[in-house]
Amino acid sequence: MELTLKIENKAGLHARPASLLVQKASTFKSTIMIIKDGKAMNAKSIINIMGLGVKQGEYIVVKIEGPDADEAAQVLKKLVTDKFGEE
Amino acid sequence: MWEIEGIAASAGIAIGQIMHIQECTHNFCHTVTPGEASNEKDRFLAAQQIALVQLDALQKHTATTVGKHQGEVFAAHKLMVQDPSLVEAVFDDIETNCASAEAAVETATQNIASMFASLDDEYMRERAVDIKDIGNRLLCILQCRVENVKYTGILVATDLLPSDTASIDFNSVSGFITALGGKTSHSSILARAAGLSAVVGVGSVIDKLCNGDMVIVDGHVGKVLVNPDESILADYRQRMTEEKAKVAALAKVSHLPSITLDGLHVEVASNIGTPDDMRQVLAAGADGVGLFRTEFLFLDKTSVPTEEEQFQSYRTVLQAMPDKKIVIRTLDAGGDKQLPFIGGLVEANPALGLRAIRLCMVYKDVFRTQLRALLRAGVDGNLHIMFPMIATLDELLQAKAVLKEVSDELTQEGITHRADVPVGIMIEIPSAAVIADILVEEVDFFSIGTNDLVQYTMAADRMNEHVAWLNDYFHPPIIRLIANVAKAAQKNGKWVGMCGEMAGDPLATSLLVGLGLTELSMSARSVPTVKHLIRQINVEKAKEWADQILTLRTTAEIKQRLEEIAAIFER
Repeated sequence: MELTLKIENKAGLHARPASLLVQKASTFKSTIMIIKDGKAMNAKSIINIMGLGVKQGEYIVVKIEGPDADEAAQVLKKLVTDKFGEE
Repeated sequence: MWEIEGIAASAGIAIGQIMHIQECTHNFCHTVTPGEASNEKDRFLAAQQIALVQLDALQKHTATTVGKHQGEVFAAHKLMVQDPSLVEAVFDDIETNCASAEAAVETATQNIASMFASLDDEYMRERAVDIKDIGNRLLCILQCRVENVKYTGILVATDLLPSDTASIDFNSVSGFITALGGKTSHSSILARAAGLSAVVGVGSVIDKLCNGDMVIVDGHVGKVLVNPDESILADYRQRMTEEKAKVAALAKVSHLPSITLDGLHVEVASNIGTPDDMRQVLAAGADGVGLFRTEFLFLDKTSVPTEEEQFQSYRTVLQAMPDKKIVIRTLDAGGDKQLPFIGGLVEANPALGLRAIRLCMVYKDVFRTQLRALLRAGVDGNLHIMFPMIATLDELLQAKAVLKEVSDELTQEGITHRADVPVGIMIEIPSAAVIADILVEEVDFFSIGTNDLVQYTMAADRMNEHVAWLNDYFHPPIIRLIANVAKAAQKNGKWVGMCGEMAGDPLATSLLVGLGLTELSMSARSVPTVKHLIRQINVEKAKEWADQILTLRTTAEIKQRLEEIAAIFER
């Protein structure tokens, strides 16, 4: 399953939002990858996610495969559209 | 004597002998035999567990001594230590190259650090420091090095790693010098929070400094004087003594009441953003809280915080100062502080849009929940409730009606609460300042919020640097509005305070007292200075000055007059 999401919080995927994303992603059994500019990274790795350097206004593709893919997609989508609870 | 130029990261002067921070040694065995590979993996996993325990302790320690926010750095470190990509790289190196756990950690963290360092974003580049810190920590654990060296004097390091700054006892250290870092690096932020002087970004010149060298760290201008001549040393010692004496003298008397020469008690309170801030408020000797911004409870959340959650937070603050006035402002969201659970409202001018009390009257459930939590917590202290952004009498009456409903509801449900909580409003919209005489009949107090009052009166966005000269609270219209509000309050026997930036500006103190304000709320750091000034004021004299200032025509004239007045007082 693939989702395309726009990162709208001011800071982009900085330490705090990246931490939240990784913490949420880690609660699922599914393999979750974040793809940006052709680079696919493990969503359960904060180092990988921060290394993508995603800024405000940029799009990411979230690729999810596994038994709880639907639920994971819902949770991650909400997190991103809620701007990680930031501005 | 020679000099080092750097970035002034944290103000103040420090004099002392330098001490280099020990960094990890790198002379360990780099390879092992293939048979030992699984043992090396186990060693790594064991070190990882110890690192997690240390980081947990550091996070808690930093959260209590420096601040919750600063402690969160270590939450990110915990994730990094367990990061699958780090573990994978380490295991891979051990398996394929027969690397020792130390060598594998060093290589992996260096690679990740250089990846961060190559990103085109200053903040992200700074994160290379975090990963190096993780690497250092794991290496130290693997080499069984003892933590907690006792550091004293002036510290010198390539860069202070977050864990260094957290494990240093700031009472025995007076300043630091680092080769790397800028104003936004961890070390600079922590130095400012701890009140240490610091010069950062001085470069490789730190290698020329030897342990025991005498230095002067001038954090005002970003200069380090190494082995200075006796006369210069004496000069700086004098300056440092004076600076310290002033701060200490003010801190010592900070708990004394701020009563004017002619016996008027002007309360000097503090503004807070979270219950954690109460520690500084108590230490500063403030007379309570003049503004508790409750947004923190809401902004980090994806759903509305529960009544219970809010009740606990409000109660914590009230119980910290049970006999002092605690003014809690109801939710001031919208505008530049959007709430995640309300969703993106697109407005052309958010500062003039659906925010604060306006937003609360639309999302009444959110408002009611907050008011319930407040009234329940009110039993535990001297609570005052304050509504933000009131522009008309109708808004005030509607807000009060909701408060009444909530109170009746609690009574019906048989829930303990305080029904007669004093209610006031922020005066931050010019319309409210103009009709203060109408509004005053419906409130117990006013608190003037100068930041928004200036922005709205001068029609100048306070974030817009192109109109920055208009954003000044010493413009004649602002002083006149304040005078109008104070007059209306006094006439009706209500008190009026201020919780904007202006309240903590020593230049404004005598003017505000002269205009009739009896409560000033500011950041905890400013409390001792303002209290000291109030003790030197004669209210009758201050009134005369204020009347004269009200006749001045420009900001420049007002400031000049205030400077003249300020010169009379001891600062």
